[in-house]
Amino acid sequence: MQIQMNYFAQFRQAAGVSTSELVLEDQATVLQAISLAADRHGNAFRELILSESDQFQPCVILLVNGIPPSDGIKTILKDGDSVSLFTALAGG
Amino acid sequence: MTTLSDEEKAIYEWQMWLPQIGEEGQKKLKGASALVSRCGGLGGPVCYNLAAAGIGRLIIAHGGTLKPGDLNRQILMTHDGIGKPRIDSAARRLKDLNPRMEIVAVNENISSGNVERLVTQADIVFDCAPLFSERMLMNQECVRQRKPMIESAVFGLEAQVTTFIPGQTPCLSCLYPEAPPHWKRQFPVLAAVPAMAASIAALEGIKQIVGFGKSLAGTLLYFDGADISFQRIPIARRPDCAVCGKV
Repeated sequence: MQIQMNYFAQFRQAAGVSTSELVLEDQATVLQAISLAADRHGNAFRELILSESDQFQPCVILLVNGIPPSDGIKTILKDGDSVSLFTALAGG
Repeated sequence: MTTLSDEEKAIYEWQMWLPQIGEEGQKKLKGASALVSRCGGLGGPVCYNLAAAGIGRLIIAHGGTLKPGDLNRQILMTHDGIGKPRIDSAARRLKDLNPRMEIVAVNENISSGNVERLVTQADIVFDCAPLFSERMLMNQECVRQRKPMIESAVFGLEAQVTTFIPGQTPCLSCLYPEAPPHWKRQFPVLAAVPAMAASIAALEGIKQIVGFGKSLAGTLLYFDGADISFQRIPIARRPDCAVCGKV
């Protein structure tokens, strides 16, 4: 299946793009999509979203199809879903 | 009881024509006190909008001196203020616009040593600081004192604004249980973006003070200046939030 990843703020800066298409196995989870995106976009991106022990960073805002997923990173994705990642902002 | 002078009625006539404000709303603004953390890219235009609207009292906390790199966005500053305390320029510029407004100018950033005292003086708080440590302090104190906090932030061409009402909405720690490890004090920014976010934040605060409209409580408004798009992201309280979970 294919999904779209949308990147905002520091994710966009680290990835160098604002969106990317990912091809995943059926029944893949959000975490699997995130891991694949991290593999694609490099260490700066990975460090924003995953800790050294590959735990999801709690300060990241995650949306699936525009709303926070009730199962978080365990949410199972469907073909055509969009996953949006926002870093915390404090610029003032 | 707050009253409006003939001069004030003349100055605020065009906004009192708004049925949502009127003379009673204008009196509420005159009777209100707001704390703004920092008077930089966000805090400066927040202060300016509140001053223009006729808020009675502004408490502004910002330490340090003006640097050349501040001038691309800190619109309360002036070029001849380089090397001088920012808070002095902010107070002077705001007084030029609204000499009736009381300004409490604090030449300090928000810290554990002053946050309780400063939040106590305000009816509403505007969080415009560039560091999560300051934002988290403000958040904790606003929750403790049950004061609404208008949260705005920017990075590059992107911005976000929301309204936190203790006991009703998420707080900042619900949104970010931990300060992000990769946030840096210096960040890309273009003045038009924080000015836009600040205007929305000021409007949110005015709505809270006067009591009209639908607020951003429970919604994180996300702006992308690259394509002038907005997203409204629903945000929820965390029952286990260390700051507001028991409120």
